[in-house]
Amino acid sequence: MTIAIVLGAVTLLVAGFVLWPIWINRKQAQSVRSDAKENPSDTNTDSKPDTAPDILGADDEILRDLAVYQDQLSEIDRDIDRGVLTTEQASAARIEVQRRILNADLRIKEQSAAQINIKGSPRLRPLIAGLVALFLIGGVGLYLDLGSPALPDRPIASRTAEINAARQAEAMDQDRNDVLNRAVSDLSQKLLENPDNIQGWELLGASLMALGRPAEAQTAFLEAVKLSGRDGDYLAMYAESVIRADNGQINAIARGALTEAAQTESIDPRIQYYLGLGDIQDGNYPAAIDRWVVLANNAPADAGWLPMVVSRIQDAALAQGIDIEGRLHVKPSPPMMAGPTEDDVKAAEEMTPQERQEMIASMVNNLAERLEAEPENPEGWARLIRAYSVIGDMDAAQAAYTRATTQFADRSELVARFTTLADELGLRVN
Amino acid sequence: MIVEIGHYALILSLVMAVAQSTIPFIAASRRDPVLLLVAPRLAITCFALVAASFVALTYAYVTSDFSVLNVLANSHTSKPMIYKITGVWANHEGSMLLWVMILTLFGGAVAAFGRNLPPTLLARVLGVMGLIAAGFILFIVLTSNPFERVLNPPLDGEGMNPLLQDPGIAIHPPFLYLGYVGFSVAFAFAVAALIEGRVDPAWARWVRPWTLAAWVFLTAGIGLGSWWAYYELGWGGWWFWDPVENASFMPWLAGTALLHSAIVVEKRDALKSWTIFLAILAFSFSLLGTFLVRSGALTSVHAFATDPTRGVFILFLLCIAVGGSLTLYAWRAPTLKGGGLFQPISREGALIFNNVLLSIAAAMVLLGTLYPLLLETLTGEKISVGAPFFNATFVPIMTPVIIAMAFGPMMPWKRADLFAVMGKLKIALSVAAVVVLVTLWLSGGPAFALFGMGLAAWLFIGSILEWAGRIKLFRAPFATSLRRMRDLPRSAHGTMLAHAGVAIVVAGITGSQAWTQESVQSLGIGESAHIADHRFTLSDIREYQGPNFVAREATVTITTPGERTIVLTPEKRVYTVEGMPTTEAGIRSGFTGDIYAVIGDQDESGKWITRFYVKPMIPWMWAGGLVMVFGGLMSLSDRRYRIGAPVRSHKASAKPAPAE
Repeated sequence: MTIAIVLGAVTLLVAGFVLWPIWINRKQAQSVRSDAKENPSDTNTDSKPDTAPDILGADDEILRDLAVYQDQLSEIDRDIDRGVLTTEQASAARIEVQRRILNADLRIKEQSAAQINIKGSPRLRPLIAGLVALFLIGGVGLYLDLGSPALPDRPIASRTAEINAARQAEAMDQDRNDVLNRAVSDLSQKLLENPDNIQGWELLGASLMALGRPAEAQTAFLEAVKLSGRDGDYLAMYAESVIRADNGQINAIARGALTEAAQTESIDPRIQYYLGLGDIQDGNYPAAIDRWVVLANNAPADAGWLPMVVSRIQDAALAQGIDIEGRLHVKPSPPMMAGPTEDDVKAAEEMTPQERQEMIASMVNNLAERLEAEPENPEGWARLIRAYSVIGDMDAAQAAYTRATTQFADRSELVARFTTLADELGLRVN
Repeated sequence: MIVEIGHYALILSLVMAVAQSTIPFIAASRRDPVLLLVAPRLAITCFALVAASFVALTYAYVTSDFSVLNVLANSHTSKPMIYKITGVWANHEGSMLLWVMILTLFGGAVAAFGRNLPPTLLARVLGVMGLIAAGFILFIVLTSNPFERVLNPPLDGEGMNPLLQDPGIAIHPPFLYLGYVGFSVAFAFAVAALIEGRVDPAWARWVRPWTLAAWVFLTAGIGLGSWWAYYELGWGGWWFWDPVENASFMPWLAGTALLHSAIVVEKRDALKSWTIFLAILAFSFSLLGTFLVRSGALTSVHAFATDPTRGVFILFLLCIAVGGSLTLYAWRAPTLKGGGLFQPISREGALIFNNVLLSIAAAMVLLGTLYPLLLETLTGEKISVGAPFFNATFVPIMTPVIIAMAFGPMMPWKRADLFAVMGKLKIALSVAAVVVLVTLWLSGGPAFALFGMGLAAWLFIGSILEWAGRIKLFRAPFATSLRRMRDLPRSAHGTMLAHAGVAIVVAGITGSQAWTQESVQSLGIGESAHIADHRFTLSDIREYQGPNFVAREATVTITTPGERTIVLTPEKRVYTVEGMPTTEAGIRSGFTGDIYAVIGDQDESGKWITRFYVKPMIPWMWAGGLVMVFGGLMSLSDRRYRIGAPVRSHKASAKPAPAE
């Protein structure tokens, strides 16, 4: 709203400033006319309602030119006084100026004879004022088309909450990866001792997939496939890891595993989904659509992956112009995620900082609790100290720092690291 | 909200510019006194609005508002504040906005100070400037809008080309643009005069200072640009006949010609048509320069394909402005009345001689710049026209210009005696001869160096002689000379300084081209190289962390032939955000020349690749440029009316003047 008022004020200011001479002249002309009505005896005013200053007459032009020449002549006198010009040079210069004056006089007389009485056109003025107004309206239209009046400024100084959240998210990612990495090493250890544990292999593969290491996950899933006697579910997992490792390409190995899995009793949706994707990569859209339609029609209505498959079917059908009318028997898929409306954006902006703050606080608490349970974690302590200082709880940061140095008092290199960190964050250092 | 107000102001300024390009013409042709008052108000409003949008964009840069796409793409939070500000114009969109802001600033200034101009002339001048502004603001709004927004801005920007993170290049574009765009005023006056069909007495009084101001800025801008290339690119070169450089050099040549012929219009009421032509030419070259740099036509002809709208748009503007004004010139110029007559051997004649040669030089540069582009467009063949072409064409054209530059100011208006002038220049000729001999004795050549040094000495002494003659130096008591010097019009000092500045530049170019010595070698710490009797020792290498870069800094200790010790610290920086390396040369400048050191990477044996140069006289080039700029400013401060009139004849002047 404020922006509309400001922009409106700017527009009016501009229009007012530019059109001021026209407006003033109109007022004066009116007052002259009303004067004339009051004193009908005065005939002079009536004949000249236009009171605009006459700056264009031939006399004015001569005067203006003469003023320049006059200045030039006095300049010559001054030059003589300063001794820059000799009298002789000066008189030559004077003759030059006089010659120009004669020329100018001649020219202006000719000209004013040629265009007597072109005296402006008062009726044009409102038209011009209207034109300016029209231009301004066009400008407003153009701005509404190109601009984003609802978008506020976003100076970086006002985005500390976002920056903190991003840092926190980074830290959280780190946490998650730590947990996964620990799980991977624990599992590997256990599987070395007991390699027949199918669930162990499955968990190891899933952890590696989550860590974004599909090539390693591939080996783990392959173990599970072998141990399970080529179970369809494990074959599907294995195929997925192969596909991820090959950047989404359904290669021969993946295709073999999927085909084999399709012949088992497994109803893992990944089997038909990836087989369909393979069809599409071969350019066989109808086959892919057939496969996916069956998959979608047999799916439980609340399957999380269903909307995704439906939208892939629709995309493929659209891309190839294939009619799928009446073939899909799924409940109308929930509307695709619409872009946030302006209200949503606003609402999110108003709510988020607090929400975010709470989320951060809860994450920090979790970390603190975990460290309380397992204090042998220097990385965790460093993160906790930093996290407290980010959310502004300096006392807690101080306490965590003290606690950490006590915990690792016998390991000087760690103490040194904590101290550097505390120093950076502006904590008291012992 | 400030950003959006800036965007709105930009669009309103387009509206004002459109109004400014129509209403004043209507007002002038209908001779309506009220509408004529509207014209200056439009120009002033237009400037205020563009300035407001520029301030808003600067605000977005200073506060690192990454919701503005332009800021996101060209800035970064870790950049020092000065480069956040200069980042505003270190990119296409922002620099176009700066261009337009300067254009409207000049329009607003003409409107504000133009009260003593005939109102119809003022209106038409503003109308022409409005046309240019409307074209360029439309270009910005439609193809290069700096106020495009991002809905979900990331938390940091993408940074700025580190080569541009340098104080020299930061102020280079504003100067260059002040120069380019300054010629728009002369252009607008020229077109207005063509429409009016006459050249007013006040006309020349206006054109000369604007042209001079533009020339001063352009000279400073080009000087800064070459200085930056010299110390930042790390090759020790300062001018590459690169198309971007030529794009600024062509308007300079045409502008120099315009400047001199505008003097003739003011003083002698002659050469009007020629001056108008040069005004059109100078600004056309400015537009061409803008087109070449801004359309992407330069880096590759194929850049047209990546963003055709921009290039085609500017090309379109260029065609309208240049084609329209030249057509108008062809149509109306014959109706302009010529002024004072003069003989070929006269001040006017000398100025025309130089004007023609300067125009030819500009045409040669134009040919060398556009030919490769045309050839690549038409046949796909890539050729590069470099220094050999320009040296072979430019030097022969400029040599007579420099010889004549010493003659010109000595000649009286209207008719001159060549032999009398030659007599006055005897001293210059003999000094030039002595300089050639001394150069030969000191350096033994090469031939072009002897020639260049002689030329420089000739021009330098010639310029001083004219000035010394006017203050009667050594011919009158010193106190008289001093008084005469004080009383001399400032434009006379300006002429002397600008011409002497050119002489110093010529000497600098000649010296550095002839006697530069360089060597490239791998050095371990503590090892030395010998160049031109200087011993360069690589004393130390250290690494350090700057605000937004990491740097390797070498300490190079140099022992000069005079057993003086100089320590230079060249650096190689890598800007972390952009991932780009830059070279910071270590330079020690002195009266006799520069010592220049560059540190490179490590070779396989662990030694450091270093480049050392001894460059005699090279600082003279920039010193000469500064002297030229100072001369221009001096002349600019001279606001007198000038009348140049010939004294009737030599014989008459010998006698006491009769009563005339």
